[in-house]
Amino acid sequence: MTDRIPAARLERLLLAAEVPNNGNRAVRVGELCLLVCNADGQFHVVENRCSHQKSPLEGGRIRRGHLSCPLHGVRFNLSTGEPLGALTRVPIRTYPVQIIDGFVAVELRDSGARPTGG
Amino acid sequence: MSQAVATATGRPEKVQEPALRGDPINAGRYTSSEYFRQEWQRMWMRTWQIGGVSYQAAEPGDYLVTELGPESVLLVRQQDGSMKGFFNVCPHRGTRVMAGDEGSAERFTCPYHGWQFDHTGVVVAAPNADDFPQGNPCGHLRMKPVQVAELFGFIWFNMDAEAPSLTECLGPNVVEEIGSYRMEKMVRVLNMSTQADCNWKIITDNFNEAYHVQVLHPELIPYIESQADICQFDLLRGGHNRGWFPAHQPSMLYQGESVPEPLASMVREWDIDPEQWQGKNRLADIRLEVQKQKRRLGAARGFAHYEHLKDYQLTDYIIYNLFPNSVITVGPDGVQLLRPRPHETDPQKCYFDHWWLVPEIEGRTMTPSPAGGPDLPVADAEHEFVEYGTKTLGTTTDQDLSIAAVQQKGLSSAAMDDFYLSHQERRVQRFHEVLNDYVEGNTAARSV
Repeated sequence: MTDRIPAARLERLLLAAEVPNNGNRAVRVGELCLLVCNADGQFHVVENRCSHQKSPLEGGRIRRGHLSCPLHGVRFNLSTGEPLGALTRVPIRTYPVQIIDGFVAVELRDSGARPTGG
Repeated sequence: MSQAVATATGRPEKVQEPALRGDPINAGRYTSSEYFRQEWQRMWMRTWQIGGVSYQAAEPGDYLVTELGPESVLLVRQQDGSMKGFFNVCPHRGTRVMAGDEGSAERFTCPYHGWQFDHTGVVVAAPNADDFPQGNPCGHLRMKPVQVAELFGFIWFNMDAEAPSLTECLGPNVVEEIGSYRMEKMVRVLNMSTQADCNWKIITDNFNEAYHVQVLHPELIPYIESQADICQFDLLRGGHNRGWFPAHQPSMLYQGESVPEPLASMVREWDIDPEQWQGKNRLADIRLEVQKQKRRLGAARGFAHYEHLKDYQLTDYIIYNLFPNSVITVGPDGVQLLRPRPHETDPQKCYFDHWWLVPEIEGRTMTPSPAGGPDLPVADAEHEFVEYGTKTLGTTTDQDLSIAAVQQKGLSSAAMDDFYLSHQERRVQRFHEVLNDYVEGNTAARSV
């Protein structure tokens, strides 16, 4: 039996200019809840769900490339998804980002997004 | 009260030192769990501690969490710009409310039963809030407050609500002298911690004397003086002390005739030709020439902070040991915090923090690292916990910590009784006498 690898497609999420410096915006793509983050001009896309108690990460503060969960304060490295601190050791998913015509875009497959972390 | 007894322009003002009592310093205070417990309750719970850097919590709702021994403290920026602090403990059943080290929150939510607290620490929401026969906790219960102050660009806290204010504890001279470095405009470019196999006081003792420098840190001889008859040590009121180390000149222990490295490179940066400063007599004056050149060229080169510094501060290092454990070393181009913190439970272990803060100077994106290794970007550094021995914490720090564990072992020996201290180690003696005042409840004596 062979699995057919679904075709990859680039999904444009939103204009980079819509995300203020050290801010973030939640985006839905089908069933996926993604969070577009601007960390000092570097764009990251992660799943918009904390690995601690599943709360949305939208609105969390970004400092030094880390996003802190607004609910209990777990901090995640936006490049790797790895958490700091004692509440959880489970990373959040991260997605490789491309900037295309000013849009923040991630590569998704029909079966869902292809994660790089977590 | 200390009073100035001599005025000299080229060094800090000498102060009248409090008399020492000669209390014995026995080894049990480094090893005993009972002493550790008393020290915690009577000293740590009553003294001022640095919780973090002010800019970590710049906006209302920004918070940071800091750990000290068995306690965790939550420090929060308020709507009016002031800071408040609380024991990081839910009054419901004791869970630590916030686990992250810093962040921003509209409300603080306990991860256990979901009680919510506002920025002033008061409960504002709780599931099934009417189910409490003793009364709805909302608006009544709160996280227990601690005292908070901001000074030198740091957020400080004191778990004793009745303790004198931070500025009262430090005294006006310390506030003014350290304040002249304008640390509130600096950025923390190094933020490392490790765990050490020694009682925290072994590290404090080490910073309270320079007698060991000639043996343990010979690499400082080319550009820093540490000989006691040239340096100046002052016991200050409240258990604090100060050590002045003239720098940008070789120590009197230096045997050569020419300007050694790294001093030669340091003076070249200020357009001084080391070749012109050969010979013992010339070498002795090179520090004053550096001061002159920094005064002449500093402002144009972006070293705006020099205008607030006295001449000696342009070249020299001054260590302020602020009782009990905040060791702040100021230099012309940056400030270090070298700080032991007590372990949660074990008197024979502690934590050690190393911070390095520098002023932002236009056009400079990198700065030399006091931890050795490559230069550091002039940018706020992420905290790094280093397992001792796996990575350097800085050349001199590594040298100091190499001794700490073997001293701890020796102090656990039946052979060890009282210390046998030299005059130049009197800051160690004074520190322990003030610690005794806290532990024995002698409140009148400790502030002298």
